[in-house]
Amino acid sequence: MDLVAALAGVVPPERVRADAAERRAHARDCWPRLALAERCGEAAPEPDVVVRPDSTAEVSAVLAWASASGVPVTPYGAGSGVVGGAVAVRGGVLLDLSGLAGLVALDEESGVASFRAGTLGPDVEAAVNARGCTVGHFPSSIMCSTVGGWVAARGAGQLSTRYGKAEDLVVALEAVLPDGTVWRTNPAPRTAAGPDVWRLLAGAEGTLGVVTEVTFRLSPLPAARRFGGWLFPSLTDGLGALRDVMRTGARPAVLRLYDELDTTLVLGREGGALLVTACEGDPDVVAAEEAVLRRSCSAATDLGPEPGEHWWAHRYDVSFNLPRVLSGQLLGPNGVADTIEVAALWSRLPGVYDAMKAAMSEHASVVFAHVSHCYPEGASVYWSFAYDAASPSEALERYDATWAAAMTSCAAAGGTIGHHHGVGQARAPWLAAEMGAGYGVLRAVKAALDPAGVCNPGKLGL
Amino acid sequence: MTPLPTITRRTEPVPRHDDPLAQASLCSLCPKLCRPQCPVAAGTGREAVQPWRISDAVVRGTSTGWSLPLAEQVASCTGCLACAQPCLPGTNLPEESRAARAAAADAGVLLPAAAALRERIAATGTPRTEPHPRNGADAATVLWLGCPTDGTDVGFAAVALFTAAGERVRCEADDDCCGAVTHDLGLTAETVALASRAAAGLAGADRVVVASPSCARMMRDEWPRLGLSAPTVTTAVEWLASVIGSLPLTSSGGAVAWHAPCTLTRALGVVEEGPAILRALGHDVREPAATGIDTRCSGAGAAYPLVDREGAEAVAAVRRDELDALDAPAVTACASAGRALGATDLLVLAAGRLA
Repeated sequence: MDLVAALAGVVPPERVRADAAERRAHARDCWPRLALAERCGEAAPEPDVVVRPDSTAEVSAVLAWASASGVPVTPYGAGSGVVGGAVAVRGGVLLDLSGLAGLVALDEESGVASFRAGTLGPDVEAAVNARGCTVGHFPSSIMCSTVGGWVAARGAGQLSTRYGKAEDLVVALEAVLPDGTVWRTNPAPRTAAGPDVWRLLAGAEGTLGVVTEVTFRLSPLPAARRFGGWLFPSLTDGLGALRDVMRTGARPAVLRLYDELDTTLVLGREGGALLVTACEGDPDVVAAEEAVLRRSCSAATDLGPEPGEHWWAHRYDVSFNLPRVLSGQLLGPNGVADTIEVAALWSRLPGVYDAMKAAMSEHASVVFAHVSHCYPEGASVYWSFAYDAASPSEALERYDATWAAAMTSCAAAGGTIGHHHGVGQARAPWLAAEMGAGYGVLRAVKAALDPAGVCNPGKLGL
Repeated sequence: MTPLPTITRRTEPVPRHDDPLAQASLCSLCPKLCRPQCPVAAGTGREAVQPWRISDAVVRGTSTGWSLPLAEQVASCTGCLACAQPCLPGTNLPEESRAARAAAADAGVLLPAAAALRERIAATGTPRTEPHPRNGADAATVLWLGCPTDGTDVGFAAVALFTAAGERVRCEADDDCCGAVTHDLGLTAETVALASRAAAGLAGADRVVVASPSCARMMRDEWPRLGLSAPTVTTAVEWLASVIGSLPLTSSGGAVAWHAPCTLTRALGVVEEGPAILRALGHDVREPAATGIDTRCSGAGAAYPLVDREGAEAVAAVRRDELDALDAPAVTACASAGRALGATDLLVLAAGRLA
């Protein structure tokens, strides 16, 4: 099928590009495996055509046409995903949502704001900051990730302990279902009018439809922000303190506990587990949270505000280390680095940590983690691993082995295999086991909504 | 352009690299903080011209050979350095892009604009199209007008301003070119020849006052890399700022909208002088949110209009909208940007106010 000709009757022709540069530019997201595979001669799959709609109606027209024609459609925001979720593995149409950007509405009285799906993070914050508010979603990818991607992959920002994950911030959304139906949910603080069906789209990564607009809950810009740093004798001691803090009802914006190796890397000296904290919001609330921190961290050495201030000033820098390694600048020419985030209940978290560290260390030379994104019942463990291989093929083999070790050991120890990077292709092999019977529900929903299987095929194992 | 958080603002100059093409392998894997910055991507809506995708094209061209589409992709950069502002690893994409253009041309893959320019230089010996004013053949200060000012009144205005300031100044020969345009199009041999000839012509000058920011950047940053001795370069904006208080001027004008040229500000570090001159002329200076060191590109830099006229127009349209919103006539200090934006040149504006 001549997709360009076919799409010319669906959307304005200037929205459609099929030149080699655009197809190639949309072939890769930030999944490291794609770069490693390319070193082995395995080119990233390219879409056949790129469509950049500028309205929900155009998204609807493309999806309706694709469903009727059996042409795959892969949504793409800004390509910041790290699990291969925005890769057109079966070709077809790449739906570039970057043209669908900007603030739609801001309801100051209710404290909610609606954005189109392709809006980049800085534009979200700039729009609401100007009105004295924040969404509070600050992923390390904030400069290069979009509203639609945040919700579709259930992302988490660095301050999620206070503000919540992306799906927690959603008050309403608009999406286009695979048959082209436009679905707008009714914005409400909470509802008992049936199940929250919209939540199927959060984490579906475009496999059940395309998110085109999101209404977020807002918070006032913080009037106060205070930092802290605490050195615990061990990671286990620090975990106990985090649990205590969260059970008080306090919600510090940052509770970031580094394991012993990560602490050495951060502080430049051995011994102990570093906790970095930040409390922000109303000054009275901040003061209360600081009091809770002092009490819960009484077994630790108070390092003062400097560790928190340093982390804050450099909180986006670490993202550059991955491309530095992958481009051969930090390790060797076949250097590899990646991150894996999981989560677990407090009771299981030490076991998950020990099991994953042991399993991943069989394949990677350097493995360390920090615990963050805290909840009353548990927290996320964010792993970093790196190694240098002798050849591109060894680099790829060890990469796959490290991931497999991480996923299987996490699941066996009772953790959940993903916290906020999504599933994409990277986690797909382990998703069915993670979800149990729920995966059958997901497949049934997929079959009902997308019988032609055109929406983001190959992701979530669908 | 999205205002950058202070933590992502580079405070030191963008570094130069011994092997600019080697930067591409890192940049091609990193879409991070520069993403909202690229004016070409914002204007055209093309993912292929985002910095990391241009770098990806550089990697492929370098490793698997050049094609015309790859050469055009790597040339889809205006050299504005906006992407370098937040880049903590210090990638210098314009440098990388220019090196890639040269590598493609050296491999026999010429951009159509480069082929046309090569023909013109072969026929006439220069990229220049217009004669410039001749003045003060024996003066120790040289006024360098440059190709971008061809077809404008900038040269005549500059000479009038020097005369009013009581300074004797010598204009460069009509056919002289610093080599910036050939450098931008990857024509290495022509660049060396033109720059060498220009450098020889400037030998002995006490100082060179340069009207075009791109010529000033070429002399300051690129000539030494070609093994040429760089003269002491002063931009015309810096010179005018230093003498504006002593010039006989007529009464003040109204509001103006200032477009800060990106090469003047980000590459050369001349930020405050333009608005200061306008204020000295009695204007109410209005500036868009993206200004000064954070200015947004007009789309006219690094020969981009010669590579993709439609794309350059799309980039300019975004900036024109921002300036139009200020409800005042636009003024700038770069002839190329002036053409793209329909803005009056600062030198022409100032010369028009001489009593």
